[in-house]
Amino acid sequence: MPHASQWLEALCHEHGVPEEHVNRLLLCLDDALANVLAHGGPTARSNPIQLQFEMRAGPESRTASVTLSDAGIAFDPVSAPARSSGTTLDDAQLNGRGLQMIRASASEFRYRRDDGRNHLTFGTRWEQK
Amino acid sequence: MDDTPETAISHEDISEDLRRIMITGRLDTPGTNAVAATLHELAAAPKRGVIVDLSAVQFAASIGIGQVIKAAKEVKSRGGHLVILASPHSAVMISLQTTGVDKMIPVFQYITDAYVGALRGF
Repeated sequence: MPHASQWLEALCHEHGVPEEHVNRLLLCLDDALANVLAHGGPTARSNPIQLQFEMRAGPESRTASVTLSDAGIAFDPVSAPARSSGTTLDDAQLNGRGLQMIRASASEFRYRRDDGRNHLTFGTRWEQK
Repeated sequence: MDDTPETAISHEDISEDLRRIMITGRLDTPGTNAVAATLHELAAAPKRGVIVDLSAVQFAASIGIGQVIKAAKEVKSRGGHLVILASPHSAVMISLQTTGVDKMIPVFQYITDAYVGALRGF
């Protein structure tokens, strides 16, 4: 996981992604990878997890996105219902907030299942001055 | 390529009853794994109030938020109060608000308010 973060951070810096948006992508990557490793099953862990970075430039904005591909159990986090992790300290769960965090941090969040693999894309957009 | 900021944890005892735990760096999976044991050890001290200072944390993923919740539960179970210090509009504050954790654990923007909150039980 540290290698994935370093890879992403280096690409973001190379492409001039603003720091706030680097942090958003790093947070999404951490939670997305943690989900795959925790819930993807043995095939997710025994096959390579692939990452792809993409930059898109519009007339007034830029978008940086990451697509994470894994061979684990099919799971569409984009359509998954929000899960309650508790409302008070007494009933608060220690985990289960990853999707909430990704949804809040990413301006782009897409999923497809293709060739027996999950492909999850999360991205962040900012205005280009 | 390895210029990732290290996640670090330290503390200061403000008084006999009050401890401030400062975390810097990132509360992602590697960062949280690096400091979680020390966080719980420091939070276990017999202090009435514990402030977890996240104002110098770059961002907090769900694993990091989970460990702060765990520490807050531990402090509460021995009759103490844990509060969070976080900068307004920061990535950490957004994570706390997004997940509703700011409704479970009091979050303060100023250290003096955090002192009072931790000692008075909010």
